Amino acid sequence: MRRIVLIVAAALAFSSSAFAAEWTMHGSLKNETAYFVSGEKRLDKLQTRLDLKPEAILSDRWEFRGRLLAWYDAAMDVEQTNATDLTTGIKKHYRTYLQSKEAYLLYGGDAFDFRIGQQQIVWGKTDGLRMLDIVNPLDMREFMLDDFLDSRIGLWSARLNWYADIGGSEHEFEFIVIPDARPGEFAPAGSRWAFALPATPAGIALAVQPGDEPGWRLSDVEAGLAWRSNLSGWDLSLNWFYGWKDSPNMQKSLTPGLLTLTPVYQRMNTVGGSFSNAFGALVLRGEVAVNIGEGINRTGVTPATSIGRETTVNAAFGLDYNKNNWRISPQFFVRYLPGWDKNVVEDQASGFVSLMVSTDYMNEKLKPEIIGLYDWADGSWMLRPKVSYEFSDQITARLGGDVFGGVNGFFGQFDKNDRIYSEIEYTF
Amino acid sequence: MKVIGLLILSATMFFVAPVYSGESGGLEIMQQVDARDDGDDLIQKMKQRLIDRRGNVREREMISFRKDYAKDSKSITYFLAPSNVRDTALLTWDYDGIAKDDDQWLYLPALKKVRRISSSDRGDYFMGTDFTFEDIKQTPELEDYNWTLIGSEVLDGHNVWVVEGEPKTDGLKKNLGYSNARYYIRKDINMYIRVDFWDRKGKELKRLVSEEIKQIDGVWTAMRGTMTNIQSGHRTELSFSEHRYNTGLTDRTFSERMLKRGYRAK
Repeated sequence: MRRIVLIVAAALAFSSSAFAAEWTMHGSLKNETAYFVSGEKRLDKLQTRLDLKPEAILSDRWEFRGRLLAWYDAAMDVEQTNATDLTTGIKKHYRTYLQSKEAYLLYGGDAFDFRIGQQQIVWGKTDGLRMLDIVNPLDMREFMLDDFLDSRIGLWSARLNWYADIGGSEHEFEFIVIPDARPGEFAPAGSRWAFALPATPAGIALAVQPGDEPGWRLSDVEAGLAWRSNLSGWDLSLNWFYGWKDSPNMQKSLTPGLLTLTPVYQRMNTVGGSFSNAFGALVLRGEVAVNIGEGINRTGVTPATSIGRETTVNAAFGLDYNKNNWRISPQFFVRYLPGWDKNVVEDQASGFVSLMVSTDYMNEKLKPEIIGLYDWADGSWMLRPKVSYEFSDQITARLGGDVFGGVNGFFGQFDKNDRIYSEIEYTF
Repeated sequence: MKVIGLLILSATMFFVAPVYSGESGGLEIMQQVDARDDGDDLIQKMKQRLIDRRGNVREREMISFRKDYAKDSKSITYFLAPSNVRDTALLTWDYDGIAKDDDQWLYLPALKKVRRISSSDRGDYFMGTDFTFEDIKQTPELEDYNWTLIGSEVLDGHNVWVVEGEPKTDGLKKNLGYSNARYYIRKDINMYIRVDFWDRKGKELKRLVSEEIKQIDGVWTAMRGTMTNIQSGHRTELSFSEHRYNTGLTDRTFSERMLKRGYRAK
């Protein structure tokens, strides 16, 4: 909070200087209601969300941009407290939310842009699943159902984008320093959106200890570089990021009658790149991210044998096809561990396929869409149909569902969480 | 969504014209329209009103920048309002002729990503307007049509040529969504002020009318235009303002960088 105050104070200092700053406020007020229609049927959420985007033009060169997201979830007061998935602690976690998503100063130079403050930095070309989009961790309180814009955790960082004309093409060089290293946030244990913990043998209790999370320490600083350009019609990027894996690995320690899990956060280097180009009605796009020294879970039950490090190759390829106001986008994701052995918990090769189909009617007032994701390694899947209707420039309503299938697995673990939802949003 | 910028760019180009007169064949007249002087670059604001048959109105405001590179051009368009599309921006590198598809990139603030988009489906409608990709070209791709001068008449007090363009093949008709288009071109300024379109079955489909034509910085410019879909009763009204021609826009204006930064009036 102190850092936000500093950034806003800096913006206000500009405001009171000779340049007459112009402040604006945009945003939205939204109701999101979701109801579980499988497992124990109940309200998932009854949220009233306020999304505020304050901005200021501070001078010819300087701007301030911010975003604040807050909500109150009445479902946490409507639904009965229980001892399983709606404990007092879980209700407290979900009842209210207030977070700054972005608060940064932007300096727009002739050949460079400089941003300092809390930011969301987005890399990569794929939708729905992240491979190269690894700079900001996610808040997965609602698994991966929330928009990334809402679930991405803004990080305090400095970013310089320098643009140079080389050989007749513009080249962008991006430099990032992040002192605010943070892991992802997950749904609280026991809640319906919590990831399944490892199974324990009969008669063995399970305990989870707190881990040593990365934080505001010099030794934890993250850094990244990227290059982007358009060469011979191809949009290309090369990326490098030295950071922390967002999700911890679980170090195990087995004593008689008790299996203790300790989250271990590990650094890794990511090198990769992305591409896209259009060919007639098709757009081809993709990205590759090689994680060097990525933390992985192993099958052992001692601290030394339960976690390790491997190089992982993550790649995604997608197509966008547009015709007669229909949009069809299949994507293929693969993850491969070249140094895999049988003691690694995950498969040597795993991944997903996804398909998005959308269209529009009534001059784009009515927009149906469906997204399907299938985990081809474990056979689980998720289907997300949605229809939105624009009543006016300010008011949009949406109806949809999130359906999970499969026996366990990435999506199958939420098989009892099928839900339908409605949204009504007023934007200003 | 993806083509609104093109709409603005091309509407601008579409609604400007050089001074020329003389009797010619259909193709020659369309070539004269295509060859007009529309300034080396342009900044302008545009307001778009989408009106359905019940009279319900949706409005959008944009600002666009366009620069010519010989026969090619580049444009970038930012949505300013309403709030739910604010910061959406479209970058277009528009290549002359049909040998090469235009390059287009769309910035989606909800994803914080720049997306490469296809520009090949010229019959697609965009952003809920009554304009297709083809409609918003400065002139249609001339080599895709058989052009016929069918006569002259007086329209709204102006002497106009009436030129019909029929797509050369069934495949083109399918791609464009039209079986025929009739252009009414003012003889004094080589600018079309009305276009009638027929669908693939030969039924009258749409009518485009441009109005309030005046010279700005020496360039003939239409300040308003309306495309009406006769079959659905929906129409799109465009109004333009704050034109600035030949300000010397830099190449960097038309880059992915500017798409991501967005436009803020200073």
